[in-house]
Amino acid sequence: MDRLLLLFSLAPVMKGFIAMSISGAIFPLCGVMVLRLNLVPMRYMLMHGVILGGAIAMALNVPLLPVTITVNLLLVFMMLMMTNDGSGRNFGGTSAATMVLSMALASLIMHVADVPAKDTLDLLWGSPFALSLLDIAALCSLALILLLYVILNFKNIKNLFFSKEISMSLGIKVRLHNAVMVILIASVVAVAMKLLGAFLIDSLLILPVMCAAPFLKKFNRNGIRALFIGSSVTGFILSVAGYVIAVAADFPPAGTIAVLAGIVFFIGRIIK
Amino acid sequence: MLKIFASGRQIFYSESKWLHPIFEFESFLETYDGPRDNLTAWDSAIGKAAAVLLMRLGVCQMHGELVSELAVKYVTSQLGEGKISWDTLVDRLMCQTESQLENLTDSDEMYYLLRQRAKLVLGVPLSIKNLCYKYGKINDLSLEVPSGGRIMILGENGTGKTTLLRLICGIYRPDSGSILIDGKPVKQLEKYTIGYIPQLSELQEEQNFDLTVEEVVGLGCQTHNRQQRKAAVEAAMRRTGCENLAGRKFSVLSGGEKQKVSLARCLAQKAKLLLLDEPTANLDKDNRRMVIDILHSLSISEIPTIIMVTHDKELTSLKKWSVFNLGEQNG
Repeated sequence: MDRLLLLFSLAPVMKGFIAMSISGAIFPLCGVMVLRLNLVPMRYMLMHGVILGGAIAMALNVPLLPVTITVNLLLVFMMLMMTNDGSGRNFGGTSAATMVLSMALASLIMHVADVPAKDTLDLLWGSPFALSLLDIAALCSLALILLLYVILNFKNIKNLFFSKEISMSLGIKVRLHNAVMVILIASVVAVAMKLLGAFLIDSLLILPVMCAAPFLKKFNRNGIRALFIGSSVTGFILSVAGYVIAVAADFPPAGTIAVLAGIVFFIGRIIK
Repeated sequence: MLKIFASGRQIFYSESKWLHPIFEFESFLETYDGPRDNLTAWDSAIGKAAAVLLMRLGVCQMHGELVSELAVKYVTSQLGEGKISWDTLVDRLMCQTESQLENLTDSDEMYYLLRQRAKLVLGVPLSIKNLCYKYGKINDLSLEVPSGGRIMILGENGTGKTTLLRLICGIYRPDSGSILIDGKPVKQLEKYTIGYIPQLSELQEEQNFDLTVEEVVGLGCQTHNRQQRKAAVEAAMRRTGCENLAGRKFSVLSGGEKQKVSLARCLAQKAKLLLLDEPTANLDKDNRRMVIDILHSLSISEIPTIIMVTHDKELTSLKKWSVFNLGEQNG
């Protein structure tokens, strides 16, 4: 216990803890959007966008996080323009094309600017211990924006989840909300990549939602509000518990959180 | 002047003009929880319209200073002899309402007409002028629907019936022409004015992370007060008989249940313009009847403007609906 307290007194560990607590509680809200709006293929594209951002940042020798967020936003805008109605209905095909395009561009940039491929691919493994204060500030701001967006627009979000056409008939600005949600997801993916890496990003976004769902059903708490709250609570518990275990046992936090989430998910499936 | 008595005790009084005191009494009854049996009315003038309305509200004995023969005939045919008395009996009251109702016998239809005349309808007018769209037979289409009007749009497959509904609710933009709802283009319309019920096949959403029936019914509910919202949702669900489905996921419901929930959603929303796309398609006989009954009840109580696309011949049993045949009447 003393050793654990000593470890948490170290700035990188404490910063990581704060980051994981906040992102664990808030980022699953994006996971609900990803799953409910069928944006899973787009998430893969955004992960590849981070690789492209990483290549650009290293080639230009500039900070990684703002560049990866910017690249993801540009990719999202490109996709919104390609899907002419902006409804996100055709994101599957365009995501695949954009994913290939971003990897191709990343490989060209790495070749032209002589960026070591290994350094860029290191982005696939994030680390909550390597966060700067600027990263934490960006994460907190993003979490706050996401939380406020969900709270203030909860009714519109519910309508969009139910039917985009009915939402349009009600006078809800579907294109605007769709764009805002996709931009938030793009930003969250970029930040989460830095925390947990590309391979385990889903343990922050998707798995808390998947873990919460069977338990909510078991306790007869159906509905979107319950899903948002349940995912948030589950994400927070998984992140904090996984991080503490990782620090105590000297395991990699990303893997520990993902394994923990996986165990809870399978328990949930058995219960279901 | 109208006075209403319950078991001899006066419970309501109004000096408003025309039929308005009776409509005020109708509103009063919504919150009145005293005895309702043995209601009697004293009115300064009772024509057929007043007689129809008073009887709908449960009045079983009425007296008028001036009463028309038409009113006496109607009350006698419905309640029997001696249920209406007068100081002066005239052949007919000199007003348009009396003439309008003279040959009508259906109480619902008369009630609908009277509310429309009194402008006590939820509906808003729709005006379509020279509408053109690239799909279907929507070419120079013009259509006027008054506040609280009810219209059935018929037509062969591919004529653009669904497209027309989507144009009205702003999902598609017309190539040319105009659509005005309550005098405004769709984009400038107050939020939650339109209640759109698309075809069932378009609501077969994925079953994961779905909304509950209660959430779906509350989607268009405009009040921010949680209790009022809950009350409105519950009332709408009771009205369409889906209160037992409240906690269930929408996507697992049967076709008929989904239509009940969709209608409840529009009721809770207090939609002023109701757009229904094949509301009875793929439903069995009982569920079709249920949808028809709810639509009938809606069209004579709240009276939104209703535009319904259908292939269903049984829906023509909804009396007094205008019919617009797309592909024949425009162009």
